[in-house]
Amino acid sequence: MTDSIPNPDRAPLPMDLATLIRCAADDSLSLEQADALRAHLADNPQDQARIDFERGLRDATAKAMNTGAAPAELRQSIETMFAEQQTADTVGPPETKSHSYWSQPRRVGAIAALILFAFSVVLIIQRPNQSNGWSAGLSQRVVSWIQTEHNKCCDSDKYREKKLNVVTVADAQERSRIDLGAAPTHIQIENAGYKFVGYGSCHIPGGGASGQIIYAPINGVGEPVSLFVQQDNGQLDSVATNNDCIEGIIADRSKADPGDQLYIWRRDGLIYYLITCTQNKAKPCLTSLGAPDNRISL
Amino acid sequence: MDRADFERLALEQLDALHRMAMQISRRHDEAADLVQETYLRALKAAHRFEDQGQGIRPWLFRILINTFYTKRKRDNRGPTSVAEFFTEESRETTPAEPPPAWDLACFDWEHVDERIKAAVEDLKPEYRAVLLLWGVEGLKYREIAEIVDSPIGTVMSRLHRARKLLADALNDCTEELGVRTTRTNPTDL
Repeated sequence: MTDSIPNPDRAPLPMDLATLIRCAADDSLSLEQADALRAHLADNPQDQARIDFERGLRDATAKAMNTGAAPAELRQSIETMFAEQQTADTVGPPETKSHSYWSQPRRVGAIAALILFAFSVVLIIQRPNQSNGWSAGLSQRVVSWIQTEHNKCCDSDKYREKKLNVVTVADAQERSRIDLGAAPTHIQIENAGYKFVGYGSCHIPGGGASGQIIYAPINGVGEPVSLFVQQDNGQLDSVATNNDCIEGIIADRSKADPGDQLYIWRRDGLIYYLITCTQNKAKPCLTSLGAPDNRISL
Repeated sequence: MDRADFERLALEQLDALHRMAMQISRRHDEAADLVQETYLRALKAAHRFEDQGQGIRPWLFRILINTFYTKRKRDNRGPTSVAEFFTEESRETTPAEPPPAWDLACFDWEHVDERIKAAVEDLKPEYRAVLLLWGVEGLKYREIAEIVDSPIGTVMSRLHRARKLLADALNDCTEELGVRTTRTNPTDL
């Protein structure tokens, strides 16, 4: 019998034996699961050895994966970086560029990848025999353009500050009203954990005035997301209604990782494009932005 | 928390962060870059850090893992279209087969260190990450889920599958290790 302390705070777990045994070894059973396992072990005491094995495996894994102390040079370089940052903060301008994504030096590799990507991206949102509006060719150009712009704004302080130079929500709404003929709504997404950083006009392929808003995670963890807004001239008529939210992923099938997520929907004469590389954060953003619940993957 | 305190607490986690960086990147130079970038990002976002009672370590782990996957995702970009949207989690299931019921009285864990290292080496980075957080750092499922920004079910699936793979690696050499095994199949609940 396990001596695990039942933990009522655990999420409900499937009641298969393998899961129960591993959770028992981790002291992560709920009261109900502990009771179930206790009853099982009363009839099958030999299975206690399975729990003991998992505990032994945990200790052995910890030993095998413990790589010891970090190199002294690494510690020194971080201490030096801390000191340099403190000096920069003391003598430099006030913290108007405090977002880590925009303050760190970018690597040449990232730029190269970006350039390569700009030439190679393929939109998944394609439908054969589209005769007008949202054609495969246009969709590829739109997605490629959106991702390139989003990345450029993430990668370069100067580019972002120059392009997205409207830095308050009120000014952004006023400016977008002028740019687009209508102000996008629900653009504050702090409920989703993101704060408004900047807005600027842009030129999404396919016609119609457009603008971009970029948001940063409030807690400083994660990547920015961008919301692009474009005048709706019927580009999506053949693929989506006002009640639909098109969802797609821009990725390389040969790679294991999911790519950036792109969501597209229409509302009140505007088309909205949300791009994020954080899959789990996309849903709360969409909720805050008022995107339709009906998702369609094309 | 003032800056000096933040730097001190953050530096106390250097070994743990370097361990994680090594486990997921598998390269010394990349691990060092990853750790440095993590500290830089953490420093820039320090004013937003709020200790929720778990200290600074989970927050730093989150930044490190996020930085790693974001960079890898960007490096991996390429052409094609996929229809596997949001299916990553659904492909991951917990293994149905329970752990082996060996007679551990005659089993010496010291002798399987290299085998476990080799098996760990073969795992995917996301499996190694949860394995490290579970095994070395001693975190609970929910804490791991918050760090890797995944549902608790996904964490359990990855962790249990990783452990199953390690057990399988050991199972291949039970005879050599002189382990007596129970051949009876476990009874379901």
